[in-house]
Amino acid sequence: MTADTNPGIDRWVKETSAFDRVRSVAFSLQQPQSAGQIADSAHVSEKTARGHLRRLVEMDVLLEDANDGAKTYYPDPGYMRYRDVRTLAREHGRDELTEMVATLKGDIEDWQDEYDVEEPTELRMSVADDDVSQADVYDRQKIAEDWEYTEHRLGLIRDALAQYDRLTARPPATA
Amino acid sequence: MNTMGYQLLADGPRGESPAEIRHRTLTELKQTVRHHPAVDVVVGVEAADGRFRELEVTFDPRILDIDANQASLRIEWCPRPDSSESAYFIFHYYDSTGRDFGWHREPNPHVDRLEHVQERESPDAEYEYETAHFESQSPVDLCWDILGRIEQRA
Repeated sequence: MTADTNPGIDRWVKETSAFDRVRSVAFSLQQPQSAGQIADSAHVSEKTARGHLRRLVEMDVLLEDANDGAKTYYPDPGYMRYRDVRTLAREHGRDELTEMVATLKGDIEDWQDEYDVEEPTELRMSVADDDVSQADVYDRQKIAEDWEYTEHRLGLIRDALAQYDRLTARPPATA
Repeated sequence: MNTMGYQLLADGPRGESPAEIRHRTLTELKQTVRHHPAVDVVVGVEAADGRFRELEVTFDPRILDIDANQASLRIEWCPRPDSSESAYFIFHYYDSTGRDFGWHREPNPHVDRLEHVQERESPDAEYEYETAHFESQSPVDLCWDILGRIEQRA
């Protein structure tokens, strides 16, 4: 199925602006990509993609790399992290965030007990053990991924709690 | 940066861990599907308790033009520890009439290719599998491609 015949892609183009699509493709990149590759995924011309990517670089949310003259783009991990932490602080109260920490720590303790390991890397290595069946291998890898993801989320929530006042501050009301 | 537990994992581009890429991608997918006219609600599953490991999309069955009271899509995105490999994913549709099918990229003992469609006629039936192909490596482009396939198939 090509983009030209896919009703989903047609709808995406109809419902969103070129800037929306370029930003959305750029923010979800899995690898650094050139303006041409991003243009293909966003269904815009390369010239349009270049212009929008330049603005996103100027806004400090995308990073631009030039290797051998070919420019590639990738989301700025520092900006992405700040955005996540700020969203957590804005959408949740301190008590909620504290409860989330307890829930996620509980999940990690459950995995530690169930698999008798301390760290997700140990769980990844345990798939080589003789008594782990083929069916369990994929399950354990998935749990290891969820575990690492949970540790990442815990880090974000702790940062949101530590900087809560600053992240939720509003400009003073004008008289 | 939380480095706990990543000692043996190769860092991805710009030092991002697979967990960071997963979160960034889920966040963007959550934003983009809201633009689809048949999409009512998008939530991070168990977002309220901090887990947010996958997305649950609720469709308006009237706009999807289907004969069901409820229709949903579950989205998972799991980047590989080796960042040169394509991420695993699940885009799985199910509705209140028992329709149940999805596009997956993940190992499954019932099918040779990582990329496949699986469907079953009823909740107690076995899944049937077919191989599938996707044009794009971009999660959002892929998501809209699959939303189109869902509209055609549902």
